[in-house]
Amino acid sequence: MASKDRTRTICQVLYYLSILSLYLVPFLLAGVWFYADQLVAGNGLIPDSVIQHPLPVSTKCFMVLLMAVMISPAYWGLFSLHRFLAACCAEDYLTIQNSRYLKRFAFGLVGTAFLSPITGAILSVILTLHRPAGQKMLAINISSNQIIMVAIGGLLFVLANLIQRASLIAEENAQIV
Amino acid sequence: MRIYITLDVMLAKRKVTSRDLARHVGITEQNLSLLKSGKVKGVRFATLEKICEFLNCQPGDILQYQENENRMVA
Repeated sequence: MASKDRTRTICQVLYYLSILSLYLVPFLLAGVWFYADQLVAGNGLIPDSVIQHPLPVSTKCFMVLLMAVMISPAYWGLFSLHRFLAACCAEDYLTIQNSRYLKRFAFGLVGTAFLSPITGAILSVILTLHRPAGQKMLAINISSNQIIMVAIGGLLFVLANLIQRASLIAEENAQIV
Repeated sequence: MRIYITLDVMLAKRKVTSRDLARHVGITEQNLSLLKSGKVKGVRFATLEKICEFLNCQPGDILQYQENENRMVA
């Protein structure tokens, strides 16, 4: 199989995966609502004993809302990635628009990585809000996941810039007969 | 640009159609039209070679350098 065909095949697989992810994310939010208690119990930051079980509806609402806020940049980025991959499936790799899509995906990843500790901290406050004064908690968690997401986002941003430069060269090359 | 392409003159001299030349060179008629009107940024040596081969001419016969008008007046 030629290298170009292989790239196209990989792009097609990733394209279908991105579509699947775009449909799955809203269900993930619904899952947060239904499995909120289990998610909170296994968070590893706040002891389960200080959390009120079953969670009140307001807390569940906040959880879903915070999760939506946290993943919204990644979701926006995923949408751009889906467009980027659609263009790649049509073997239209080197365009400035494609570099913009990839940059958006990179920004989406970095945005979610930065929002994650913030939403986590807010959630910890909400979960221990019912506790008496002095027992309320604020937990800030920065894990390797976020660091990896920022690193991948940065790498994709660099790649997007390279695609932009390459597309300019390709554009100029197309004007040579 | 001060490099002018006089390919259409050469085509008329040799009584050759653009279609035949495009077919020989291996480029589309559209690209040949862009080349004739000077709306391209460059010409590959391979393209130039095939044009010269088909028209039996020198590169200088189809490319012309014209000096700046101000300089010419001075």
